[in-house]
Amino acid sequence: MNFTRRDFLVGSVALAAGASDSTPFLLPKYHFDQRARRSRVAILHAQRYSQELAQILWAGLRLFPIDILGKRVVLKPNLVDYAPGDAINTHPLLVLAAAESFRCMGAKSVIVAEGPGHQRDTQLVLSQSGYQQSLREEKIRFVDLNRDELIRTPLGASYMGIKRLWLPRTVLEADFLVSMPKIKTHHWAGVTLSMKNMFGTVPGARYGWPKNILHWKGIQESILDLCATVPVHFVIADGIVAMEGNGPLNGTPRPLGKIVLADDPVAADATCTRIMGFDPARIVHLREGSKFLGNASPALIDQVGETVQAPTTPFQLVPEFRHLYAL
Amino acid sequence: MSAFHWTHFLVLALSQLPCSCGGLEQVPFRIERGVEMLLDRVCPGGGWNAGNGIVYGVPVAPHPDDTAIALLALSDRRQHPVVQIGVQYLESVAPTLSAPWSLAWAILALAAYGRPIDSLYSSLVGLPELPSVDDTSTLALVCLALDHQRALSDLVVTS
Repeated sequence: MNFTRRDFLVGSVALAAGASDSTPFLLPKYHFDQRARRSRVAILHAQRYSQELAQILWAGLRLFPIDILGKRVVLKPNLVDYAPGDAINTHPLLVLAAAESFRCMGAKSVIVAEGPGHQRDTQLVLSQSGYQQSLREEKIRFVDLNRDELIRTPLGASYMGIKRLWLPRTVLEADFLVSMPKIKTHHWAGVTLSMKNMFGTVPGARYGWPKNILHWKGIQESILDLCATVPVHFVIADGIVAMEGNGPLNGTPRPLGKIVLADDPVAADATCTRIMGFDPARIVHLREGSKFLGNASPALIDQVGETVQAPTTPFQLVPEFRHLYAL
Repeated sequence: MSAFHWTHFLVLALSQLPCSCGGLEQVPFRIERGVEMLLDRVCPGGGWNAGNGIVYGVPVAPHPDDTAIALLALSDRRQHPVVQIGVQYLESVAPTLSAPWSLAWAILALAAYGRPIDSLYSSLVGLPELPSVDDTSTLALVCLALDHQRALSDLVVTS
């Protein structure tokens, strides 16, 4: 393999960028600016997982001027693994409420799609977490993104240092992709929200578990490249019971009582991090993403519903990410 | 992160080393190191997860499929306490499985250890989702489980 001087420089920059989560990327690596002039975020109050979620979510979605009529909607929840009593996955009742709302808004179809990054038996996660029965009863189709038909896709940014990824057709052909993360801390990324949730679109059957290429190329870099390539049109974040500490699998459930909606993943995740008690500017993929993917600044976000309030006690973090706490 | 190892890949490598690298003098050493690592990565409660058994000081729960695959790779160490506990875990969880991938792996592993699998076999055949499985790797695995005697014979695993 021959290395050019340019390869060396790019590699050096990538190495510097990956050396520390607090080190900025030295050169812009995005291909175009996707930011809207302004973004909208709604924080909804929901104390528990119940049938009332459908009404709460419906009211929240009406706060956004979104047109779903005739569109193929893909809901992308966060399904990782299952452990009884833990807050690992997006709750199925919230996903069902979203499906019902988008159907009522005139969607041509609503599909739930996910490719778990840890447990390779997707059917097992579906059945254990209550999704399988719920989806069957509501006649909602599920697509396993780990094993979907793939399309070789040019990346919309080059933080990982690769040009293309094989990505699932179901996601690429969605007219309206909704990222539905669980609000969690993450022991390798700081937080896992709507942007990190896109890891689940990378097919395990092609790249292995836990989506190896993304970890080798850098988690922050991978999040940026994926979000630049697969546009997230809307976010419905499950913070009714969130997770703190050693997430995304072994953290502690943290009752938060909130659902965060947004028409911009960067705005959604910046708001979620503020609710968790962190400074979004200290999270690499949010700071960098705010330059071309969406708006993180409160001045550029129209806040509706509840106001953003930092918690009395910030979410717990593993020691490596204590620098994320807002001062 | 660098200390994280994946049970699945290690086991597949272990199963392939003897046939793909036959004659190379380092192979027995590498297999032994791989076996040692599998025994070391066992979950504290028995069985195997996708990788480490403890993450940031917290014990993680085992996965049925990873446990079954690890047990197949360790079938010549069946007297080892870690292996016996793994078999116990798999026997306890297998009747609850309703997903073809994990259930098929469980059948293969328990058959390799001479455990009764008739009821599991019936469960696999009767899974309502089975006709709609379109993932070829899962279908192939189900076929192997349904013909487990020949499959295990081809894998050189004897009960």
